Amino acid sequence: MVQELSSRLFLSDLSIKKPSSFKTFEQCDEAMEYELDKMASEREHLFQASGVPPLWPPAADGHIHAHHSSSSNTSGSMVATIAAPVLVPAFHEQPYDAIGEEAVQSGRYNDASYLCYCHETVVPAIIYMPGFQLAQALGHARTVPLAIGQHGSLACILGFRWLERMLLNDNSSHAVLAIIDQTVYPFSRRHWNGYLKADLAMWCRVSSQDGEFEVLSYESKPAYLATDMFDWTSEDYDQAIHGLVQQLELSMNQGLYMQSDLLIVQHVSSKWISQVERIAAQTGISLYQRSEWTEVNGLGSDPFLTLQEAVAMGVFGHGQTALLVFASVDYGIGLVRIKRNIEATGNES
Amino acid sequence: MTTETVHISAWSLYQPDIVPIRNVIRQAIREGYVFTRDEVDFNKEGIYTVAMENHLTHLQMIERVVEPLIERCRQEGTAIAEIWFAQTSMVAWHDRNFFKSVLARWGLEHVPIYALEEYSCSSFHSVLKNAKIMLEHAPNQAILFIGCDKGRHPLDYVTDYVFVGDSSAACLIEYGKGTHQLLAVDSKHDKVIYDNDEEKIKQAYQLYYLHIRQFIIRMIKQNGLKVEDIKLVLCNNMPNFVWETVARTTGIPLTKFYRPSLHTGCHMTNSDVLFNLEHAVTHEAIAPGDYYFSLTTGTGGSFGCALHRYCPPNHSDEMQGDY
Repeated sequence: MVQELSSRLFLSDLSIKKPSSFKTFEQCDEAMEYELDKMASEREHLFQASGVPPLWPPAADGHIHAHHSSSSNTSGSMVATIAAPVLVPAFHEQPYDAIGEEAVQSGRYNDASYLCYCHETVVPAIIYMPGFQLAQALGHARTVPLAIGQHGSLACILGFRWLERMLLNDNSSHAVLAIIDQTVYPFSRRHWNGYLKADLAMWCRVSSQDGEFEVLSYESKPAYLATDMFDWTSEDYDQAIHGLVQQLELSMNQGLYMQSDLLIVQHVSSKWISQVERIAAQTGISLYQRSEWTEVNGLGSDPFLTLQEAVAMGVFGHGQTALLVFASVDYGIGLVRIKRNIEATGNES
Repeated sequence: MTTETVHISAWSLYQPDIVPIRNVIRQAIREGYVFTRDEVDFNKEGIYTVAMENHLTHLQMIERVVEPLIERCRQEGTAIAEIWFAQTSMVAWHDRNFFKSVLARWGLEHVPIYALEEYSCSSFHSVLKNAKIMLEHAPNQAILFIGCDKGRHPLDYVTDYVFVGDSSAACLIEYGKGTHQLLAVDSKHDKVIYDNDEEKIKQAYQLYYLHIRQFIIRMIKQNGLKVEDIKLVLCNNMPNFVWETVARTTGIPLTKFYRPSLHTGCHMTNSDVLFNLEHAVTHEAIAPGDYYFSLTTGTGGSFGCALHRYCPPNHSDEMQGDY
């Protein structure tokens, strides 16, 4: 059921942090140069006792969809095998300090009452607390933080639910939503037949009063296989993608979503993208696909990267609505419908 | 008795077998852990055994405590609006759906699950705080809290000050219904020091305890009570020095800090308070009408506290006017 907002929710000052460096896939996967590598031996035991193979999930028969390193034009990327040098956007260091500094320096997020930090990837150890750290940077311990994980790329759906409730209770203040992901060893960037996982972060200001984008609705639609992901094969992954496609198709037939001017989806796998293209063509909704990093999965921030480009390219105009689709193979899809306000500075007309 | 506030209406606990700390110490040393204290030192703090699960999986431990509460909701026709899951140990999955194999059976496929991480061992109070806000908007529903941790490695059970035990606990939080009234709740993360500057760490700790004191005293005053009115402080099973400091700064006698489960399971992360509450009720350490605090501290400068009143159904109505 679509979550009807009990109050209005606006997003503004959308910032994206892309890695300034790229690693070859082999460097990412083996983490030989990672500063976090020193923690690797400590983390091995996570896998030993829980029956999870190291470097889970396994590769999908060596066929990896990613950018060819010789391709400077990312839109011209190609399917490469692991034998070719492959580049993946990856933060060389933990990004939390830099994000905190950027956010504070911009002056647009300070003194937030709430901070919602969403993540799919996990930090190397529990002593790293990005949510607390960012809250401290932005509000000097007055900011109430909440970290939301274990929800795949759909964590922001829960984030919107929490923020809506908190801001309803406190409508004179604002919040910050941050989605930050960094895959660290021994977790793998491989995802069966899916795109490689990229590191990416987004953050924005959230308010119940005004903002560039109004969140019109948000919801999660469960779709997952009964099989435990630890036991998946490539075929299971494809089956899970099929489930996501079916769920999207069902959802798109709802009148509400058919009214969207623009469709923006998370880049999960080539099969998913081709099916989304088909659904978009059938429904007549314009699908916008970004021009850079088309064949990597930016996890929870991924649709926002595309959204930012759509705005910059003038594709998502004032007064138009867009449907952002988040997709996570063991959870389902997340649907967020937003409207770009007439005035870029905020007030809804 | 019902009141127009939020209550802890039911709970369910699971504590696995206990093992002597001697065994845990031996295993940890074998893995290279260097203890700064020996077994005798731990015994002096009342620490003798640790709860350690050797049979059930992490999810089975959760099922053990959740299913009686779901059944209760089903019988009473209460809808669970949200699940808040607290896990302090490190998670070992990214987009793997941990709960999916049980959600359909529970009939909770569409119920949002918030997985709390950063509040670590004070997650219980973060959940109470969020539940209170949620239930004020949806008073006919319930919030299900689940706390469960299971170590994966001998080093997961040891710290310099206390052993960490396996356990699972769950409780229902409802509006106007239940025997443990929630009069006030707050949770906070305090300033975290990201370097090893001893002076800064010392100052941070001083502020930390000062803030705990402020929260407690404020709650007592705002509810028209005096320190002497507090029957017990149900705290999590942290080492003695934590509660000695809180007792000293608040004026609440140390004898009122109640954590009997420390002696068996040791520090069972987010289950401690509910285990101690169960003990207090079954051993009549709290009587109908008593006010008590629950208090937790967690990693990274987080802490939480709540003021409760014990109001069992047979509690005299004449007390109602006191709320």
